[in-house]
Amino acid sequence: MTESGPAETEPNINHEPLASPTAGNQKNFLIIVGLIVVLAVVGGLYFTWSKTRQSDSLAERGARAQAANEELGFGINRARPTSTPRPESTAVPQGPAPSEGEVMVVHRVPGDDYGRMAIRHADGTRTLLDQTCMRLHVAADYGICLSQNDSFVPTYTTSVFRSDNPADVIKEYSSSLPSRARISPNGIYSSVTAFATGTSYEDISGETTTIVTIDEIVGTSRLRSARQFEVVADDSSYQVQDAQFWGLTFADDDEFFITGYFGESPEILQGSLGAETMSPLGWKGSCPSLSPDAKTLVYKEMRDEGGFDLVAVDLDTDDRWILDEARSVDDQVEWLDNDTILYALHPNGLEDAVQPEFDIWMLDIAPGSVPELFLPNADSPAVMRSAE
Amino acid sequence: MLSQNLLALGFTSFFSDISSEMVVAIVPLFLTTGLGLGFFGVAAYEAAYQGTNAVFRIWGGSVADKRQSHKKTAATGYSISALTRVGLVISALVTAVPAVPFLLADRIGKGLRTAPRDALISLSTAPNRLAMAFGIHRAMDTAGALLGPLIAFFIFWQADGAFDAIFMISALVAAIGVATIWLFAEEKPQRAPAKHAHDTPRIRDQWRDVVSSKGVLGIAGGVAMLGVVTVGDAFIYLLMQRTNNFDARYFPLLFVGTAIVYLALAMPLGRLADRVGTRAVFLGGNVVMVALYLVLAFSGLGLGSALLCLGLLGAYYAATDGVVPAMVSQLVGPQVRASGISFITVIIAVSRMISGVAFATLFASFGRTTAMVVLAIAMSAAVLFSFRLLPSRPVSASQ
Repeated sequence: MTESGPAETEPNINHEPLASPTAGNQKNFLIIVGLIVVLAVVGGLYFTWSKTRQSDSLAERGARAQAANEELGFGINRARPTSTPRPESTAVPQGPAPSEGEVMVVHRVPGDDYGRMAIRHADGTRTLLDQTCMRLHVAADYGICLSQNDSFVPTYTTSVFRSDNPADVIKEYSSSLPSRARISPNGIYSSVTAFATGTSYEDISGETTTIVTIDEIVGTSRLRSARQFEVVADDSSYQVQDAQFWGLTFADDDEFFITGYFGESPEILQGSLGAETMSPLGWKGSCPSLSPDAKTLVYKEMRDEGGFDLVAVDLDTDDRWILDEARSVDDQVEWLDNDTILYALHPNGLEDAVQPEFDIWMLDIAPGSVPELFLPNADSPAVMRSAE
Repeated sequence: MLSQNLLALGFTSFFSDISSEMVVAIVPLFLTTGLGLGFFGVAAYEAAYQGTNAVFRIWGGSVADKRQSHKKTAATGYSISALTRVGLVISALVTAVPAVPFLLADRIGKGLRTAPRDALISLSTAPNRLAMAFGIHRAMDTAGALLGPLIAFFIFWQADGAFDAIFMISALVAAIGVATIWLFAEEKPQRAPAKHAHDTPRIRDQWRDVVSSKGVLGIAGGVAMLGVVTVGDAFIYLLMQRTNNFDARYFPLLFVGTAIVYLALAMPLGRLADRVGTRAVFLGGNVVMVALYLVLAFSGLGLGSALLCLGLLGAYYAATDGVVPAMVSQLVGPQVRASGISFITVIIAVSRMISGVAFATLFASFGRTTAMVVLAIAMSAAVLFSFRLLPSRPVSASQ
């Protein structure tokens, strides 16, 4: 073939302008228009059917959960109507608020109320509030609520509210997909762990990056990231640039515990907000949580076969023991009192893709204890305690 | 000026890309949450996916040439892909039915149809308008690719994670594409049908024709050389994201930005290639890539340079993706056109796979700036070498 070949050897080039409406083409146009109409109708019907089916299945799961809750004695109340403020008042309406020793949770009954804040009373019944959270925590005067906004592209908001009136939000900022939240015992600081690069399945490289931020709730100090703190260790393998941090817990207005990952396996570090330093404690594990008397630290430790054990450490004696929970716990635990922890598990270990359910369990840290159901269909427990 | 075949194939690709990108957008989610597949499962799936595509691309090209049935082969490919969506609907509804075979079968369909479709576009277009025709086709294709994920996420959001609804709508949109090609595309046989079975050319002879076409081996060498120094867009997006540390949920916006530029430039650059020659525009595209590497190497990647990167990447695709089949079509005889196009596109796919591994290694050992500078130098050298390898402007194009 010569270089100029193709022009001469192609007898069949179609030079005529498009679609001279021959009879055949006209018929074909009618066929395709008809087909598009039919397919659009089928698609619309299928879409509507799926929508109804999904919401029916949520409603069904919700009704089942609701019935189970009532039967087990965990009644669910709507919030009493918020009191109307006097006309001259500019105050935020006062809604229900947790009192000392009550537990704030995220309501996990599938359906329209899924994700609402709730107060668990001492008798096991709960009152639903208006606010919606993915995760929450509360201590002393303040609470923190991490929420997802329902939109085409999901966005997330972190809000800090007054614990005596969750409707009273004192600050709000947007964040990326959040995972853990803590308020310091005296209500001075808040801390949030959020995914900086998506969740694991979205990230092309197959890894997840988390960022821990620490905020002084009332006050002017800047929002700090745990990454800005110095890691004090003898071992040069602790390089803060390559590290990842998550799951911070406050001990007091200065001291905290945090998970750090330096390329091998996650471990527990102890830090100081004032000095902006952190030092490894030599324990492999993640998501520490400190008892109210600051004597015991509980964190999760990876099992060889996958999943997590809960491990307790007596900080005075350095004694460590595995808690009596056979199921895998992927949660930063909360303390009900100095001897009892609360944590959430999926019922039967199964996670639904849409509106997954959680139950809160209660466990005494003494060896030989048996986990007890604390509140079904709830998540993210936070015990209301006043500042010291 | 727009042949009926070009419009028919353009609309077919438009609908078919809406359909397939709807699935592509949510497959990672579906595999992990819907099927509970682990990270290695997803990686193995990716490898099988690419391999299937390459094998069937060659096969589709060969068969279409042998039978001179470009439309039928391409339409069969589109039909297979559409049917796999129905399979996905069932697999989303019935837990016992696995989804992966259908996803792979979709790749079979895509592999089969690509080369015959491009051959049919080239056989329906005057030689001095080839690059523009491919540009128009790629623009319609990309428009579909932009719409698909939007529709998918809208359904996912509105129907509370009903995967089957996404697959069902995807199947219906694919059906429109399939109907379009069957109803409106026409075969362009390049020789009279064989009277006896032994008159039909053997596939081996077809490939001898392809390889012995003047300049084809030069193109193969050129695109292979450039391909191994071409960084895939996923890596480029990841690099931009890492450097800037912006939120991962904006990741899809990078794809959208690139696609919009590609969409806008595909036809004008095709037209330019028809005037000044495919080699000039194709190599120009690769020079744009060198510029992109240098921006990635030295810039802090603020908003301005991030936009610049997307613009350069889109321009690179517009100057290369449709121009390559046009270049091949100018050299490979009409009777083996589909085989010739499949040959070159598979070489590009394979060399990009090699480049993926090479770049990951380079990046891990030397870091961003060094890796990008090395690649910019290598790409510049490849452009210089392939200038000699690629065909100069064919006489026919200047008529």
